[in-house]
Amino acid sequence: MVNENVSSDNVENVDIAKDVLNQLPCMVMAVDLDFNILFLNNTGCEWMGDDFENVEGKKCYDFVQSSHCRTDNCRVKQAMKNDRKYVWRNEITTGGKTFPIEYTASPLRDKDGNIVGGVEYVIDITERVKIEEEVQEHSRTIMELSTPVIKLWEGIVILPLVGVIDTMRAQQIIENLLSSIVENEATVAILDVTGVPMIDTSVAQHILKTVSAGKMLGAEIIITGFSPNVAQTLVTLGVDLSDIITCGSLKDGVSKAFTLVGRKLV
Amino acid sequence: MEIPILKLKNILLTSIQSDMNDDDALKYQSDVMSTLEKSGAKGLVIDITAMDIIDSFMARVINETARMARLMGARVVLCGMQPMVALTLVEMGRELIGVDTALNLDKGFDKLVKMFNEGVD
Amino acid sequence: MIEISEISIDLRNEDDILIARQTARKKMADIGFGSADQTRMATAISELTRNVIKYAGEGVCHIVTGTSSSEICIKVEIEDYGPGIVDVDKAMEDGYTTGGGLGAGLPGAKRLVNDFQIESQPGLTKINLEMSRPHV
Repeated sequence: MVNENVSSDNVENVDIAKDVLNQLPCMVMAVDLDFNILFLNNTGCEWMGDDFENVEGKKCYDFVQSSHCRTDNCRVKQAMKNDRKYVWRNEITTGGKTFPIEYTASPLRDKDGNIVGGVEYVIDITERVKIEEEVQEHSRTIMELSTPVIKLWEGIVILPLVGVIDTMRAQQIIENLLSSIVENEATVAILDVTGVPMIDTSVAQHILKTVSAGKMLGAEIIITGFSPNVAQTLVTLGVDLSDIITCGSLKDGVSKAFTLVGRKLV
Repeated sequence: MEIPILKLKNILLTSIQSDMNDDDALKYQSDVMSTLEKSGAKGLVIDITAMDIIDSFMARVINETARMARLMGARVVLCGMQPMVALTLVEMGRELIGVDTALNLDKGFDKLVKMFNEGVD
Repeated sequence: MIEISEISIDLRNEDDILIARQTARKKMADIGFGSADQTRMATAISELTRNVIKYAGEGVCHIVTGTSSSEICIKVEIEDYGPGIVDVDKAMEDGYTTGGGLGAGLPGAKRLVNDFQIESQPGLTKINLEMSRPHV
């Protein structure tokens, strides 16, 4: 009696599980070791534009094509081989459509724990990719706008910084400034931070890096426009900026730059 | 690979190329020293415009060459460092290069001449 | 689309140091890494492959580059079959050297890349370097 109960529960559970899988809005597919389809949920059938009866037992790569199919790059193949989970992005063609996807592959086991195939679920990430591309486009525009190096005079370049500086932007700024020093043969570069509301330790480190690298190239770098707030934070944080030339205002910085260039021109 | 060492008045001019292996670098070092001794030059300009990578070994060779030259009474200017090379050296640990520097050969030459003039007073 | 490209360079003598770092630089340029990142990675490779030649005699440098719609990435694995690094923690300290250099090799290389893993035992030393950037 007890045994029968357990087994009927199991059957019920399997049915519920299948129902759930079939209603998931992503493709779920299981294959055996030779990539014959063992299971495909409803979403998968919709994508392929076929019924499960027609695909069952046939090769998965006859219904879905991607750059990984039939190569060692196939994450399902790797999952079966290496007994671990893989998540990867790719692009698939199925049912006459091509779209970007993210797929998660893991090994499929029998009751005794032996690997008998692979199972994967595949998410359509068309929307996600579109949003990411937009964000990338925006950050590219901002990046280009945000680090304009201006040649002020023979031998002097100036880079006015405005807005919040994160590590990524700080890197960009350093690279731009150093390249433009060499391009413009500038012996003095002014980095004006008047428009920067906050400078933390990591940004301060980047500034120090720029100054040292500039010196190695043979140029002096003047930092101007530390606001009282910024100065206070930097001192409190214990950042040592004693090695660099600082001027309160951009005006003082420019006149200092002219003195430096003037002295060198003699 | 032979690195030419040119003499211009009392200044030696050398230009290091990017793909120099370790043996070439050490040979370059001793060539510079012997030319310095023979010619009695008072200045040395090391041009590294063509070097797109300076690792700690090359940095040490350049550093030592400069220090040795100074011991032999010559002033040294290193010029033409690529901006990304400077950045990389700073990121690795910035004490790697402790030589007078200039943006390019032209400015390096000026700097040496200026050093000579200051030294006269 | 994800594209992966892989190349291995045998490290037998000093000239292979140049080949390894030039190859990495070129591969990085191909997939859109900026010149600062190229220089960083090439310099790190130069440091580490020189260690291989100097202390182990020979080894291999594997360079794998990959691009997806969102990311570009380079992974470099440098391995040798030499005596190994006796004290890895110590070798990662600034100024520690057994070879008469500046002692900036390992810690310097580590600072240049995003991810740095080192495993060492007599007979097999493996160093993994990784760098990735958003695909612009």
